[in-house]
Amino acid sequence: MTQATPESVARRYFDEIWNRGDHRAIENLVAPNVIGHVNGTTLHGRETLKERLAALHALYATPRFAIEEILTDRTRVLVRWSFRGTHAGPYRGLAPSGRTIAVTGMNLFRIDDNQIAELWVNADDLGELEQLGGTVKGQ
Amino acid sequence: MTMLRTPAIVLTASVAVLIALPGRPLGATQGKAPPASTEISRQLALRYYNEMWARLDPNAADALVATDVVGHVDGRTLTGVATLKARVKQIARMYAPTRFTVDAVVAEGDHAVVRWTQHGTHTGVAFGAGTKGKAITVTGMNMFRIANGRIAELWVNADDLGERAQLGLAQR
Repeated sequence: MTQATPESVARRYFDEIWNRGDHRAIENLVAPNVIGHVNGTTLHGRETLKERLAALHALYATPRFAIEEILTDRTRVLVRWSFRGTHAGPYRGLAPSGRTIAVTGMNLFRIDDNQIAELWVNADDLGELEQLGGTVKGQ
Repeated sequence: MTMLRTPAIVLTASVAVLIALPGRPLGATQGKAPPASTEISRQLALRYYNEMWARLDPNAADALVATDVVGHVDGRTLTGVATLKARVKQIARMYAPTRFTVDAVVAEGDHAVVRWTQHGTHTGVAFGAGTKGKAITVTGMNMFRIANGRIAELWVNADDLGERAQLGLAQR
C-alpha cells in the first residue's frame, strides 16, 4: 500500500466507511477518541460513528457519497460531497418512499498520525428531511 | 424546486452566507487568467466575512465577488448581484444583534473554504412573532472558487434544520 496522506485518509473515509459500510475501516481510519462536530452537535468516539453508519444504511438502499472537490491544507482536508440514496427504511415515523434522495455537504477533517482526529460536518439536513416527506414550519 | 418554496426558506441564516455580486458591469471576467494562488484565495475568503458579513455591508461585495457569480446553496443554484445584497440586508433585519465568526480557513490553489458560526437573536421578521427574541447559534461552511481576483463560484452548507429547531419551528 502506498504511503497514507491526509487526502488518502479522507477519500478512504468516504469510500470504505460510508459507501461500503465497512465498520473495520473505522478502526483503521478514525482515532479512538475522535471528536465530531455535526450540524451543530458534538459527538465523541468511534462508537457514535458506527451508530450513524448503521442508521444510514438502514435508511437508504445503496447509499453513495461522491467526492465533488477536495482541498488539502497541511494536516486538514476539506471534502465537498454529494450523496444519493434510495429511501428504503423508516425515518421519524415516515414510511419508506422508494424515492431517490439527494443531499449535499462538506466535511472538514483534521488528520493526526494518519487517522481522523476531529471532523466537522455541515450537510443539508433540512433538504433531506423535506425529500423524505417531513415538514418544517416557517416555509 | 425554488418555485415551490414560500419566501421564508429563502431567508434563512445559511442563505445569508450566499452569493455576492458587485454592481460593476464589466471587468472581472474577460480573458483567461492563471489560477489564483492559495494565499489570494485565503484572503478573499476572509474578506468576504470580515468586510461584508461582519459589518453586514452588502456593498462590500463589489470589491470581492464577480458579476456572474454562481451560488450553490444547500442544493439550490442561485445567481445574480441583487440576490446577495438583498440577503445581507434581510439577515440584518432577521437577526439583531448578529455576528459571524470565522472558525477555520482551508485553502488550496484557486479554492478556499471557511468554516463559520453565526450567533444571533431573532427579530421576528420572516418566521413570525413566535420567534422574536430567540437566540440561535448556526454553523456552516462556504467553499469559494476564485477567478480573476474575485469570488466566481461558491457553495454553502449550513445548519438550516438546527436553526429552525432553535427557533421552535422544527425538531432535530
